[in-house]
Amino acid sequence: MPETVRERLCRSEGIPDGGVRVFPVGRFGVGIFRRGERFTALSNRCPHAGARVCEGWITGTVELAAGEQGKQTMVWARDGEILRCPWHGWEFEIESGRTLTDPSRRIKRYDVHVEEGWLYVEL
Amino acid sequence: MSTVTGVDAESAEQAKGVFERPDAAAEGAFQRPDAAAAGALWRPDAAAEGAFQRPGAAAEGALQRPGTAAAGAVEREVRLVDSDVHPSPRSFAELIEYLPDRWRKDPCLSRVEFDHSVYLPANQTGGPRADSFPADGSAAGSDPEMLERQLFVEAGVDIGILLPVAVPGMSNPEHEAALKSATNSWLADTWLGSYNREGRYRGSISVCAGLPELAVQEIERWAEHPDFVQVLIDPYLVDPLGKPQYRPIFAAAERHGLPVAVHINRTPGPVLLSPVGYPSYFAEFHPLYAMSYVTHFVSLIVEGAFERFESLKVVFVEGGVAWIAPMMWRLDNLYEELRAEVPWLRRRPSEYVADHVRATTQPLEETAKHADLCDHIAWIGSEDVVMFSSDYPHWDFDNPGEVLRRLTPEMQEHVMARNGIELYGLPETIRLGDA
Repeated sequence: MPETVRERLCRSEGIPDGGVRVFPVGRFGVGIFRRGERFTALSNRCPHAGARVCEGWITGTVELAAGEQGKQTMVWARDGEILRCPWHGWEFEIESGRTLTDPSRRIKRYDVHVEEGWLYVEL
Repeated sequence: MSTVTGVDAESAEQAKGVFERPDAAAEGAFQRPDAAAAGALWRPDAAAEGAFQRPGAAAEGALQRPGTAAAGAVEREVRLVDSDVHPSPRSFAELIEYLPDRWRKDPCLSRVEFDHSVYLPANQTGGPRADSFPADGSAAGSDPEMLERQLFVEAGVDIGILLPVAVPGMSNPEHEAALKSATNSWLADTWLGSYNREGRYRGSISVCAGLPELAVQEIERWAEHPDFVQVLIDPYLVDPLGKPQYRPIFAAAERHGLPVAVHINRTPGPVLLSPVGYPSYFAEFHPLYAMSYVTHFVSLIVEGAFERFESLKVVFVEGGVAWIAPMMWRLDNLYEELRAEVPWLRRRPSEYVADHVRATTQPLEETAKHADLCDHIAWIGSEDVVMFSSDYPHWDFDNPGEVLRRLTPEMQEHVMARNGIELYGLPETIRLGDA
């Protein structure tokens, strides 16, 4: 196992709820996403073409759902759980870093945790 | 000791650097060790002086680039030519300054905006990359300093071929021709003028192919300008390009040694007629880009455009490259059977391609196996046809570092630089830091 480097980033309240803040750590920078008291750390590099992916949009997506009379209908879903790349619009699940279409494609994810109010990431 | 979570095959590969060129910097682009020194290439205070002279403005005629060698300039080999870059006016107001009164002062017509029809579900910008907008809210691709940073420094491009597409095809072709003429004047004043401090931009003469007479006038107006290197037309025409009505355009382009570039410029819905109607969704429209090129490509070859215009070159921009070889096979298969119908063809159809056709990479067919893409390029049978393009600043931008790693070493030099240098007569080196 390679040694990891632990970086202290900021106080946990420094990340807006429902938002992201990018820190200049690691090879490409790391985005810390916050949803309530859950924090997720993703590399700021899209695995597709190298865009600074954490600077895209935190959004939802469109899914098919059962509608009336057995017909399918389109619904807005997962609001706040999806990251879209600022270049080609690839959709990633923030929680896992994986794309919605192919779970083997993913943004590199790091361990992140809070200790005494401070956010730490393991690089 | 703690561990990194969620390392799977792909991210582990990324960590080993397979996704990165060894010299790539934090932005993950095609960056060179000397790129940092080339930062801040554009100096606002220098822009006012030394613009190109406009056609007809000077008795001497000769158009010259401002600025020559300056102390401290660095000479660098041209290794990356981008054949599809889209500069834009800051706003429509900047462009209409160049329109004749007949169009500019008409209270109805002057309201025509250039970005009215963009429908793009993949991001929220309406077309450009989200990170390509200047802080002041002006159009993507309108700020020289930002464009130089993202294209030259971050993406590592040496020379950019500029294709303004701010003016789409319009229902009134005279109005379209006027707006395209204004676009040429604007481009000459800005990106080929005061912004072109280091001579790293070349431009395209935008014309309305639906009005060949005006198109020829426009070509003649700019043909002697040193930095207009091709003619640019939209592919959305009532007839395919091999038809006789377009010959004056090709004749004028050939007379001046200018390739003719064809570039898509519409969005889905009733503005884009496919062979079987109108696509509804962007997800249908984007993969069909090449389909209109297939029609024009076949028409140009079969109607004999390349027999009539022996040095003409046509560049299909933003259609990708994998469609070319299969069409060459189909055309050749029929040559034995149907040659008598088109007896002016003195060569097998595929034999015209290397001499007359060029195609740019973006949007590249991102095959799962890189060898599949390389096969399609190799099947064209000439290393001269395919040229790199990024489509900066549009949302479907291709990062040159990502394109490079999909090509064989033999293809890399031709695709990334050599073919563009040959086609457009570009210099082998550029001087950075000229001011």
